[in-house]
Amino acid sequence: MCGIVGIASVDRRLSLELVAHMRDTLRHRGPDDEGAWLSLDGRVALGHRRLSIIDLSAAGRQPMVDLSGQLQITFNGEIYNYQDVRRDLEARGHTFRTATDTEVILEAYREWDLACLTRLNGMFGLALFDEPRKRLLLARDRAGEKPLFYRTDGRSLAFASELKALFVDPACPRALDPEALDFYLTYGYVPGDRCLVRGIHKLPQGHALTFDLGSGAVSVRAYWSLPTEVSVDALSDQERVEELDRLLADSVRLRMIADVPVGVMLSGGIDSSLVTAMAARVSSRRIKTFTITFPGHGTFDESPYARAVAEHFDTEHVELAGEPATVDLLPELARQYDEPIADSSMVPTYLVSRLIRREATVALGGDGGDELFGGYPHHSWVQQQGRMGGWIPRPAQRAARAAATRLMPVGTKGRNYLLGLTSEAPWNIVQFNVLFDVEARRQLLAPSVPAQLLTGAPEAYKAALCRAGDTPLRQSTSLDFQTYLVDDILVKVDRASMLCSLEVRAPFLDHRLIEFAYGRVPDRLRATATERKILLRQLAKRLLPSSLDLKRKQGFSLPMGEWFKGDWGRFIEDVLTSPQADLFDRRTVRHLIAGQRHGFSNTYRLFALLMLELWRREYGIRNVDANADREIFAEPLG
Amino acid sequence: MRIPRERSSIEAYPPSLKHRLRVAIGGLANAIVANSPAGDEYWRDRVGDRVPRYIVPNALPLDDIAAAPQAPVDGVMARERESLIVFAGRFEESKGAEILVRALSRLPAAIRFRAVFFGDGPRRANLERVVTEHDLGSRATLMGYRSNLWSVMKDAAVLVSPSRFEGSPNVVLEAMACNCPLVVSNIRAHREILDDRSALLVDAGDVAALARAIEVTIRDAPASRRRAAEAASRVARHAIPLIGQQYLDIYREVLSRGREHRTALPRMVS
Repeated sequence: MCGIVGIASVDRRLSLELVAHMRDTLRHRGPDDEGAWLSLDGRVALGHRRLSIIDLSAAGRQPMVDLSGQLQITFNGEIYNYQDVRRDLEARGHTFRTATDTEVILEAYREWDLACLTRLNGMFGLALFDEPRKRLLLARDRAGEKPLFYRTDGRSLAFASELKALFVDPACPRALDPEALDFYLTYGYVPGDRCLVRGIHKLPQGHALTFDLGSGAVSVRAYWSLPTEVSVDALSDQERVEELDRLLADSVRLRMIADVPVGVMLSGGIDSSLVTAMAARVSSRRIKTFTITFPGHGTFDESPYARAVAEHFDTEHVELAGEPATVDLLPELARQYDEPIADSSMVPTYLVSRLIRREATVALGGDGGDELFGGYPHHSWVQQQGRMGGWIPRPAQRAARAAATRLMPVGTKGRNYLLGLTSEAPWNIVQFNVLFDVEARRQLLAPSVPAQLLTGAPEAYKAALCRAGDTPLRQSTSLDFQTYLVDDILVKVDRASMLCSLEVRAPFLDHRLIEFAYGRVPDRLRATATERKILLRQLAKRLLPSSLDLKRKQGFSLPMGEWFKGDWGRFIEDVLTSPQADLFDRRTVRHLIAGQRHGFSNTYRLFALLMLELWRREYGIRNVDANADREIFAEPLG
Repeated sequence: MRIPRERSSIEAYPPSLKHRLRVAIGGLANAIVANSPAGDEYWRDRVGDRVPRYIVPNALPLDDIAAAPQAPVDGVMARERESLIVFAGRFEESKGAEILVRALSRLPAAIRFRAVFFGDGPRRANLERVVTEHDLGSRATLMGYRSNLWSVMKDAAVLVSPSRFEGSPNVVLEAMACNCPLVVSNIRAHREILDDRSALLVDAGDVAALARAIEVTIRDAPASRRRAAEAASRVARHAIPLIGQQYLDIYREVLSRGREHRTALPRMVS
C-alpha cells in the first residue's frame, strides 16, 4: 500500500521538485520509503511513497523500471495473484529481478498490453509510462478500492492517490464545483468521476485512462464491469453455498499473503465474522482479531458478538474502548478525507485502524458483503415496494409524494421510505438514502448557489445508472456497487487506514466473488421483502457459532445521536453557524439543529455539512463561483 | 409585449432580405429569449444591449420520456447481438447523415450493427444512393420522419449526431434523457450540453474519427453507460416546470421593468 503521484506533459519540461513535493504530502500512505523519477526529456515525472508489505528489500523501490528500460511504473496496492501471473509469464520467457508484484505488472503489460489489467486480481491505483509509445496509462482496480484523482488541461495530466497532492501545484484550482456540491448534499458523497473541486476528476472503478504525450488526448475506458445478467446454471442452493464457501476461502487465502503481520477487523457482524472464519481455516497460525467497543451504548456496542466469534475461532482478540472520540479528531479527519464524505463511521474506522497498526501492518475487513449479497435495509424495501407500489393508483402516489415532500420536514423518520414508495422505478431506488432532496438543497444553499444549478441532476444520474429490464433488487445492488461502495465505503476505509499506515484488504471484493454474486446468485438468495443476505447467512449457519444473532446489522458504528448532545453538538453548531460558513443558509442550518434537538433524525445531515465546512477551511476551497470556469486553467499544469 | 424566442444560431441565417427584416423586428422587442449561448450571441451582435436578452434552454417532458418503454424499431428486424445505431434529423447536408453512412462502412466486420435513419429532407435520394454505394442496404434503413423516438433511443447502442451546426439540438437532448450513449460532432452547440465525460465528440466531417468513436462506444459498453448516465443527469435542468418558471420570471421582470430599463445587461437564466 502506498501513495502515487505524477505529471505528464506534451510540451513542458517538468520539475522533479514539484513531484517530490506532491509525493511527500502522502507520507502517511507510505512511511517506509520514497522515490521519484523524471524522464530524460523531462516530460514525465512519477513519484511514490512506499509502505512495504511484500519483498521488504530495497528491490521493491518505486518508481520501478522494467528490464528493457522502456517502462516505468508507480503503483499503489496489492496484486494478490501475482505469483500465478508470474509463473505464467515465466513460462512465456519473462525473467524477474525482484519478488514484487510491481515487477509482475510491468512484465504483464509487456506481454498483454492493456489487457494485462484483466489478469490482475487485486486492489490498485497505478500509473505506467510506456516510453516507446509515449503513453501514460492510469488504471484503477475493479471495485475501486484504491483511489486515483487526476486533472488535465489538454496538454498535461497530473494524478495522485489523494487530492491533497494535486493541491501542491499552485496552479491547481481550489474552487467548489457546484454540480458536485449538489451531488454531495444529495448523497453525502460525490459519485462517479466528479470531484468537489472544479477541474479535478476521479478515475472510475474498473477503468483505465491513457494520456498520449504526442497529442495530449485522454481516453478513459472500462476494462471490467459488473455482470449484466444472472446466468442460468444447474447448481442447487446447497451447491451455491459451497461455491461461495470455496470462493471466499480462496479470496481470504490470497489476502493473507504478506511479509508482515496480518489481522482481521472483526466488528461482530456477519461479513467480518465470515472473514474471520475463513482466515482461521486457511492460516496455519493463530490469527489476530481486533474490534472497537462502546461500553454504555447498548445497541452500538458490538463487542460481545465479536468476542463470541473470536472465542469460537480461538483468535488472539484485542478490544479498543472507543468512547467517546474527542471533537479534535474531526478537523484531522476532514484534512485526511480530502474530498469529504458524510459517513460518521469514518471515526470508528480510524480508531480501530490506529489500534491495529500497533500490532499489524495488514488487516482484512468485511467491506462489500452488503452490496454483493443484498445486506442493506433498502434491499428489502425495494422488494416490499415492488409489491405494495403496484396496488396504489398512480394519481394517489403522486398526491402522497407531493404531500410528503411539503408536509414532512427533512429528517422526519420514514420520509424517504414514503417518497420511495410513491415514486416509480427506478426513482424509488434513488430515493432511499437521499440526505437532502432537491427542495431542501435549494433552501440550504439558496444564498450562495444559483437555484437553477440545483435541478435534480444527482437523482437523474443514479436513475440512469439503473439498467432498464433489471429487477429492482439488481438495480439497487448494482447501483450501490457503482456509487455508495466505491465513493463512500471504500474511501472511508482507504483514508482512515492510510492515515495510520495500515493496509486494509477486502476479501469480498475479489472479482471472482463479485462476478459470482452479481452473475450467479438469483434475487431470492440475496434479499426478499423480509430477509437479507440469504445466501451469506446460509454459509454463516454452517461456520459461525449458533449463538450469534445473524440478523443484526451494525458494523463499526457511532452513537452519534448521543454524542451530538454533548461536545460534538456544540462543536457542530459553532462551526456551522459561524460567519465563515457562508455556503449555507444560516436559518436553514439553525432549523436543522433545532429539529435534531426535537427528535428529527438530522444527525447525518449535520455531519455532512460539518465535514464539508471543515474541509473547505482546511484546504482553503473557495465558495461556488458561477463564473469560475474561465479561471480553472489560467495556469498550465506543472 | 413582444418577446421572440431564438432557437438557432448565425449559421442558420444566410444573408437575405428576410433575415434583415427579422433583425429589424427583433430590435423592437421588449426582450429576446435564446435557447443557447450561440443564439444569444447572434442577437448580441445585432441589437447589443438595446434589448434585454435571456437564455433559457429547451424544455423536455422528462416524466413522459421516463415513462416511455424501451422498444425495438417497428419494421426493422434486428438480429440477435446487433447493436442499434440511430440517426435522427433532417436529411440535409449540415446534419451529416451521409458522413455517418461513410463512417458505418468503415466499422470493422466484428461490429454487428443495424443503423436506422429517422427523418426526411432534400437529400433523401442522395442518402439512399450513398447507402447503396457503400453496400449497406441490408444494415442501414431510412425510416422516414417520426415524432417520438424515446423508446427507440432507449433501445439503441448509440445515437450519432454528426451535424456541422445546430442551435440547441432537441434530438440530442432527448437521447440524453433516454440514457442513450452519444457520439456527436465537436461543434459549439454540442459542447454547450456535452463534454468528453458525457459523450464522445469528434471533429465534424472526420469520417475515420466518427467510425472509431462509434466502435469504441459499442465495444466499451460499460464506459458508454457511465457517460450516458452523466449526460442524463445534465438534462434534469430541462424539466418543463423549471423552464416554465424561468419564463414566468422573465415575463414578470420584463413587465415590471417597462421600456425605460431596456439597457439592462443580458442575463444567463441557465
